[in-house]
Amino acid sequence: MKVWLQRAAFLILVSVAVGFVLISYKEKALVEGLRTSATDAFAPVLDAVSAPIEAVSEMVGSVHEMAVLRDENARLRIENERLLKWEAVARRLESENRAFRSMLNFVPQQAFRYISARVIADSSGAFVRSMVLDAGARDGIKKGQAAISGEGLVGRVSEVGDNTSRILLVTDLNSRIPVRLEAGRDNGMLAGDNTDRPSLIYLPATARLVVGDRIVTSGDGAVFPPGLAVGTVLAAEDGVIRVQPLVNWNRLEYVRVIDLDPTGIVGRNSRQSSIRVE
Amino acid sequence: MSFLGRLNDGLWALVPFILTILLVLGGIARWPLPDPVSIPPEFGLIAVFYWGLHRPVVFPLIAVFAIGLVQDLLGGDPIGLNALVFLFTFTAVRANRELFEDRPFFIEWGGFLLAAAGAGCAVWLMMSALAGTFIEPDRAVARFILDIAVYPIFALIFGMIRRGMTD
Repeated sequence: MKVWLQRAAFLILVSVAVGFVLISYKEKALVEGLRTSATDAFAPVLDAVSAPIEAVSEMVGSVHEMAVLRDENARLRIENERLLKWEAVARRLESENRAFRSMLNFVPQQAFRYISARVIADSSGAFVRSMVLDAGARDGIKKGQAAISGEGLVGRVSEVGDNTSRILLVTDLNSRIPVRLEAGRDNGMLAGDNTDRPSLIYLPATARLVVGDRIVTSGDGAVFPPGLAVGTVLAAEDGVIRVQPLVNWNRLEYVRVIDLDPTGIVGRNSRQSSIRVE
Repeated sequence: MSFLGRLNDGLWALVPFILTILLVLGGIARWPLPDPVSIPPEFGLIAVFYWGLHRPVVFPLIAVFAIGLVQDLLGGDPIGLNALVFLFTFTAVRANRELFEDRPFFIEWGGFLLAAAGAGCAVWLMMSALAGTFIEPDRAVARFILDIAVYPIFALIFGMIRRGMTD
């Protein structure tokens, strides 16, 4: 009798699991609510669990930083010098741009609001590359918004709960970001494939690219603002152009979500796109 | 047995499940470490294998299903995927317990290697089929190697908990 019950329980649970897999594949919206509710409910526990891991990591990091402090100081001094020169160039270009724009009656791209959030979970396992933030709909986060770090584009908001949200990283298999070669201005698509180096697809055949070229968002589809730094061209292997994202995934503690009120492929009315100033 | 004794046994019986849920959450939490160490081990699979082998009575099928479901919901995998894999792993291990009884530890370790390889391949195939494309297995292989490497540590910890339980 006991064995029979166990077999029946096994078959029922397997059927439920298979049902869930099929539903989550065919009807993503149906399971999204379930996932966001679970993430919201477990957020405090995830936060608590990640605290000791972060503490240990910070301790290890501090010891390592102490060891390389001298070299780091020298490197930063040189970098600071270089950046000061760039600042002067940027200021000159900015004033030049302002003058040209006023001559052309150019409508400037308006500023947008940032929502800063902490990464409380990194479910970047073997097959999915995503992160959970401790900010959700209550903080103004909406599906489709871009998430950036100080270094570059991290990904886009794929699920939003009341208090948490999930970011689909640019390296995830399901990630497709409209991008542009910064130098050549050729448009393409950055396609994640679960490796650390997403590929660049749909580039025009005439596009000329060099290893080290910067990739930025193109702004096509009006989902992401144009010009966000994404990565650099790494290499072309077997006809596949690989891109090295600028973000250091392992040191990603906080991200900024751009509140642009997305209007493109996520299906909002373009007339509703109210852009708020930071 | 006294009430306190029964209560003690009841609480001990819950420890494996609670510890496994905490480990699964730990696996999903942020690990700010360089690759490949940043890929946390498959804690759920390790626990399901160990308890299915040594004390399946503390892990009813519904608990195995719940562990997989928590991992799917919070980890971003298709819901039900890990629940399915854990159910099959647990049932297969429980049905073959006698193969590992009173044998040296490396036999158990070898058994886990086979189970982890089977589970990893199953997830990889299902994910590739669902995505409709070949998914690079590099990270899955890295996780598999890590799982094999850390199994003895967790077997030791779970063994200490098991010794705290009465038969």
